[in-house]
Amino acid sequence: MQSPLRSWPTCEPKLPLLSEKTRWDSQRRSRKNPNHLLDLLGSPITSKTRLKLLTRFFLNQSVDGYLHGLSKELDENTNSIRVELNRLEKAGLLASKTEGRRKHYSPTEMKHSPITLIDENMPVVVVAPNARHYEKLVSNFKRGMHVAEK
Amino acid sequence: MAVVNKGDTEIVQSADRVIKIPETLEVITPLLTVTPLQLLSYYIAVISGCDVDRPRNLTKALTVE
Repeated sequence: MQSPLRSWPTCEPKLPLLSEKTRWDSQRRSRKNPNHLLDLLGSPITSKTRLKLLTRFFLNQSVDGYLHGLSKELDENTNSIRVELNRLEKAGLLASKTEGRRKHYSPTEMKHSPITLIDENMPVVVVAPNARHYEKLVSNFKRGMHVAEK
Repeated sequence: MAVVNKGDTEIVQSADRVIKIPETLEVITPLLTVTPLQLLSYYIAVISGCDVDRPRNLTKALTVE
């Protein structure tokens, strides 16, 4: 006698189901997808190359990069990459060191960068009530003044 | 520009403009410091020609009935 299970009508899935691994992979990809971040930051940061460079350097702070490598990696013109790298370095967001013929750029410590961005033309408002962190505020204020004068 | 307590000596020396607020409890201080800054931002917005009653993007956060 045929087993009842054999004659059971088989129900073929119409759409191919994703295996657990592929599904997990695609979720992980979308979470790590830098394009999502590019969309998000697109309006405050107007330069596309600068945005690509910032996400490239600050999503993974341990990896440095050099001009031609970055140009290939980000699929951007070397000239635009060079301009943006120089700007970011001047702003204190990137630091560079020369290795052979290559100039390697790496992100600087973000801790003090807002202060390093101050120049003589930037209006600064200090809120320094006589409270717990007053001493710290005063020293930060003096540092800001010092950076602006340089 | 600096927002400081009355009687401040250190910051007053170096700042271009100073707004002095009276000394009070530490918990209430933010209320006093924020008010002049709100006025400042209001005047800056008016000077730069922004419509302060209908800021851009605010309609997205509010539902108008």
